[in-house]
Amino acid sequence: MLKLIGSRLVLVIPQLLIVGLLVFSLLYLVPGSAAALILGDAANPEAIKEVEAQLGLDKPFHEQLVAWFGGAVQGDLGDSYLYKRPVLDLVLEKLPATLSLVGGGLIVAMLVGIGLGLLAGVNARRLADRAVTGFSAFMQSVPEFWIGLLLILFFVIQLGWFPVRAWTPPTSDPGAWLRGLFLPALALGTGASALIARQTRTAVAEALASRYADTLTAAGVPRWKIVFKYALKNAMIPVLAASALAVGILFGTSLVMERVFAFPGLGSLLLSSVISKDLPVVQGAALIVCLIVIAVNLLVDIGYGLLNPRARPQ
Amino acid sequence: MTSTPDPKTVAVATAPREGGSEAVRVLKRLARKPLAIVGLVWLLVVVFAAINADWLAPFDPTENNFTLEGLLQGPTAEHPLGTDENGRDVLSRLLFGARIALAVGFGSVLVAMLIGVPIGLLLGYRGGWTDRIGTRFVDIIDALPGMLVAFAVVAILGRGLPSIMLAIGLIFSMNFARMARAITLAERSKLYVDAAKVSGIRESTILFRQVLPNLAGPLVIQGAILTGAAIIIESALSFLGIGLESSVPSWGGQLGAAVTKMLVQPFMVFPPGVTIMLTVLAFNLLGDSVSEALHGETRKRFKRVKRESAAAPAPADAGNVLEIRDVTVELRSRDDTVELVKHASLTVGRGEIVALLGESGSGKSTLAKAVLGLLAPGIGVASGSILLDGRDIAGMPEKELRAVRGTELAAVFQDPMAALSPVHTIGTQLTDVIRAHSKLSRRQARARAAELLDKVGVRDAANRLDDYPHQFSGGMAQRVAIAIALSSNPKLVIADEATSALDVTTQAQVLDLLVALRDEFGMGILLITHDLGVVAEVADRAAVMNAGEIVEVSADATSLFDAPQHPYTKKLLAARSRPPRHKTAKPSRDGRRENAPEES
Amino acid sequence: MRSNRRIWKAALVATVATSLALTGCSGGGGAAPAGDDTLTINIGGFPLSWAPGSNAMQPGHYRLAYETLLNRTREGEIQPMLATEWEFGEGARSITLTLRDDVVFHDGTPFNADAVKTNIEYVAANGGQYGGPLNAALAGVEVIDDTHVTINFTRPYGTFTTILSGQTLPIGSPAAIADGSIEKIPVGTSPWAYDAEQSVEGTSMFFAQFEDYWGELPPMTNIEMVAIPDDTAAVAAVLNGEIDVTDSEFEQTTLVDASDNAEWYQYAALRNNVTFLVRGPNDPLGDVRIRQALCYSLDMESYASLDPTIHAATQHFVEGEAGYNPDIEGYPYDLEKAEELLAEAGNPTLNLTFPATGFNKQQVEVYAEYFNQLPGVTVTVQELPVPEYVSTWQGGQYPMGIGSHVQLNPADWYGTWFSPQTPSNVSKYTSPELTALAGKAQGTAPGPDQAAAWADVMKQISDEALACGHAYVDQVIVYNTNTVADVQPTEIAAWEVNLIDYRTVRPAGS
Repeated sequence: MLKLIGSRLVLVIPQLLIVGLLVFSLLYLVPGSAAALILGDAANPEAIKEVEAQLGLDKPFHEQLVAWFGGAVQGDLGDSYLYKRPVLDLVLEKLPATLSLVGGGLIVAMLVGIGLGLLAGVNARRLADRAVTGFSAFMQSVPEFWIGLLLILFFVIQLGWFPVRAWTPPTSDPGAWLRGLFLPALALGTGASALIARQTRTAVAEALASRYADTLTAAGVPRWKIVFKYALKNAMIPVLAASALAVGILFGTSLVMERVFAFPGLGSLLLSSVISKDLPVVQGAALIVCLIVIAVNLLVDIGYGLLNPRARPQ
Repeated sequence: MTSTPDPKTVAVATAPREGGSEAVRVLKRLARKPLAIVGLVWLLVVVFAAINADWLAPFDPTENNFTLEGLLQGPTAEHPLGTDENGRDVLSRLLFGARIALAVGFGSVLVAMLIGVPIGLLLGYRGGWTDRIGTRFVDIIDALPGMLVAFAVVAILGRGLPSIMLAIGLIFSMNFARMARAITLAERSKLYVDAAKVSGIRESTILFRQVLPNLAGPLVIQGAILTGAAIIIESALSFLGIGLESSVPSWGGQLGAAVTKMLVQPFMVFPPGVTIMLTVLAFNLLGDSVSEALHGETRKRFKRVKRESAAAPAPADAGNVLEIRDVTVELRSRDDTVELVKHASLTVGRGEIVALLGESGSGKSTLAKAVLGLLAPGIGVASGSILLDGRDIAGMPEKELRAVRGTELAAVFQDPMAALSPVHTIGTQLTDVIRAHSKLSRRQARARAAELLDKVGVRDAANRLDDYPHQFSGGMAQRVAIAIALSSNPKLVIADEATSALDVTTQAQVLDLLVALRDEFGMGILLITHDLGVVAEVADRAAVMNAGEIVEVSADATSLFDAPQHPYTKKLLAARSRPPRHKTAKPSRDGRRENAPEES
Repeated sequence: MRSNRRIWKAALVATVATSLALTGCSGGGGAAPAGDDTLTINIGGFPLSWAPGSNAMQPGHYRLAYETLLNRTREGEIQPMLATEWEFGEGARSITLTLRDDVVFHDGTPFNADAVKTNIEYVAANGGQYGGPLNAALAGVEVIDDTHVTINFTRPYGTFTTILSGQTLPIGSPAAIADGSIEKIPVGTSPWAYDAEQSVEGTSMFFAQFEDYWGELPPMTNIEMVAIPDDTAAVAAVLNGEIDVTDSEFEQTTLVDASDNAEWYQYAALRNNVTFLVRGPNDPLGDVRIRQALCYSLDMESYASLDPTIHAATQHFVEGEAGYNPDIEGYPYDLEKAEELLAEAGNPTLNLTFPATGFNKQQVEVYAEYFNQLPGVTVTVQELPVPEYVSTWQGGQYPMGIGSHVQLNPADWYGTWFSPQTPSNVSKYTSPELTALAGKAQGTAPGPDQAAAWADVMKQISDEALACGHAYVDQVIVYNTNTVADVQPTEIAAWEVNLIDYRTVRPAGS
């Protein structure tokens, strides 16, 4: 078990390094000087030079890279130009909302996706299958934020079933937190569910057409057990891979969804910092998001090992 | 050894590439898909709107109308889709927005191709360390959430069309890189590359001449689908206010404005949203349909096969556990009907081992599956009857069949590894089977499972219950499969190529096991095989199947080999390189085997 | 097969049941019950900085946590607040204040003359829209004793009492100023003190009743500030009962009218105009006729008709205010005259960029439309993100811009926008006539003569078309009648946006 985790962790390190490099380079690609951005309208050549020296922006690229990495590892991601606060603090503040959103969306995506995929796989090539496939294709074509808008229009504004202020921190009121999370998770999950449904359908159909399904069926094991115990567990491996992919997509879509439901998460932070060219925040938030996606993929890899006995290092 | 074509997936073989006629073929197939037509039509509408927006649009899309009556109107005769927050005509903006959508869609995909394809070609062509490291990079960049990349690019380059196209292009580029790399690698490994190299043509020339045409198809398909995705991403960015300028008519921008005025004019949310949805759907449908048409796979829709009603069959001989009477199995698709088994008749007596002999494609497995009720959708027993212990089970409904299976009927298949679920322990699988037929508790069932395993010759049975199938050798796994089949004491066991995947020694062991179990429990065994040796070793009687028909049934084991009746049987026997070992043959007086085969 | 279907049905039922349970039967989770003692208000989001003198704060923010030394009514009358008496020195070159002795800050620091000195020096040092002018006028602050302080100016500053009653000097705790924490967390003397425990970072800021308040405690015990960026969402939240009060746009008022649990009102909140910033003799807009032509092309009546909260005006000050000059005609819409003037100026070709941002986009676009009616004139609207807009629109790269002018008297208005030394005068050009008139007004002793002199200055500014397209805009406030009552504009501030009178609002039914 430890061997499994260890082997996967080792593979993750080059990923982290590359992502860090990419993120750090962002600052370098900006036309014009970062110092000018910070100073705003107080910018003049002497002030720019001073700020650059202060921030260490006049040192060569690799020195800055190392310094940044060193800081990042210790948790120092620099300070925001706009808010004048440490980037890490800002990001950590906004993290719960984003994680709630992505987590909720993932749960919906998996529940709906696996459910529909199961339905389709069990009834492969029949009406239910075609309906699910069609529905999935449809869901992948609709912009999720539009779904979110429509949901708000009907359920919040017209019917008033859900609060307008959708975000409540879980620590202050778990009930309100869940209630407010319902619609956004629904909107987010529907798009990703199509991906998972497709994978599940294929995997389940394959499993049900497999030899072992035949063997066990021939031996008299009841159909429901074949479907839910055998086909489903065998299907879980590719489905898990699809879910990992879905997380990456969900993160992206959640950034947009935050605007729709007014969630104070990383999306809103990124948006304001992109607009105001607050690059340290863009870097920091981007880094954290990538870290989380990598972590999720790592977990999936480990889960693979748990699910698939053949994948474990012997 | 070629395997029996699995009737579950009927695929028409891909036609050889012949240039122009191939395109015509694809188009014809495309024309038969209604959804593709609908998608194409909508896309043509969008393109038409984009090109002709100047005269189609009733108003100038940037014409403001800052009057109280002009702002935020719902649909009226003058403004069929209403007006927006500046009093501009929504329909006109929608039409001009098509330009932006198509420009962004195609532009981004083009950028993605320009970035990704050369990278993929490079990686596939170079191979080695370049490829290894490069693929890591590709994977990592591909795993970055798309929106994040877009945000970063906009943060650096600011808003505007070029910035958006670059951002979205980057997001999709690795997709194309992978595609190009895969195709390049596939082409590299083909034999003709070596042949051409030998004849002196440069490898790069060969590759590009082969790779690029092969790339065209997948690029188009993926491009179509990604164009739709690009439109969604642009609309999301404009919605957020970091895409195109708000004065530029873009569908996403219109949605963004609609949000802020949702309480006042909720209708504004619909025109741009519906348009985006339809356009992306059209791209997706088209991409999927072209993909299907190109790969030539026509997933034939099947029809249920119903057995023609026959008079009640005559009762079975009490001494027979299985009577297959004049059974015809058909495969029915939308276009035609194929008979897989034609008027087959066969009996298996109680405690009798009957071999069903034939080549791959003879229909023997189909017949076995017909008995088991495991035929794929679209395949069924069209006529005849299958009497199991006197009861007609052909075409029996699933529920009743479940009662029959396991208790009266069981099966062992060819590849033991495939015949067992790889992610469950064999203990789980065994106990599930046991508990399906008895009221034993889990612990009791486990004990019984250990017993069974022991009986089939698995050592240390109790501990091996917690092992997974891949931890068993082929022969041991097959024993487990046999244990499963035996667990509820069936009257008939169907062994479909049960020993074909095993080596000779293990094969002999498993066959010995089967015979021993038959001796102990008295069940009938229908042994399906293509191997004469197996027939000779254990069969009491043998039947020969060819092209769906049972051409010969021998009265006992030896007569098949001694006196084959049907020409096909004779051919089969002649094809054997060495004489089969007759387990039950009587040794001759002078030590020489009496029934030596004809030399040919 | 059939059992599968049953399972799906069960799952569907379970999902529906769960979702219904989650929504609860009442609308809106976490809504305050009717008439409770906490006012939940959405009034301009969370400021980037709570520091006194910062222009990141809105009046709704600073008047919640802080108090000023003096108050000024809409009519211009100065009243005591933290300071009980005030007296100008010789020629209004200094002012001496008598302070209350019973005031303490939210963090327990006593309020005294030292605290006042700290605040004044802090704001002056930070510069910006408020601190800059203060810094220019400040000669020094003398602490006489705990309750007496004298402030010395570099020039006659008769309107300093107005400064002491506004956003320039909300008084914050010197301890919080010293350690810098005042930027994040306001520490003032108001009846409501920030309570970190009841606040939720990023979602709400809770101000609980300050028991050691020096005066009579207002009827509303606690005030919770939230930040809902979207007007639509904010109004929906009031109608749902989730929050009590919000600022809004006029277009949402139809919904409020249609409901039975909310009301709205509008009050005069801000004044703006289009100021021609780059107008030196060699600049395209340096010719007064061109400026006048542009002004004549603005159909202000039509613009005002778009929205009942917009009122067209001929000048910055309204009738009844000091600085209002009834002789100013302004530039009533006259396209012909505009074209004539352009012809006189030689029919120039003008390519002008007009900056805009989210909150004034519509106005800029409307004005640009009008300007573009003129032959030879091409005005392009340049959209900027808010932070960039705020820091660059008057920096000199744009020839003109629409800005909200907060000055309350003609001396300050002239001094901030049109005098030769002010940073906002980008081309550093003021006509000799204007300079002379302003000098005269500044030199006249306070009284009706001075008022008349400033009126002349105002006329000159109008005649030179340095700014036109004046509009004053009402703010709409929406509130829930089931939960709160006596929501109204405050008497002691004029032209302050995003503000209600925190001291009169009370729980409904109390």
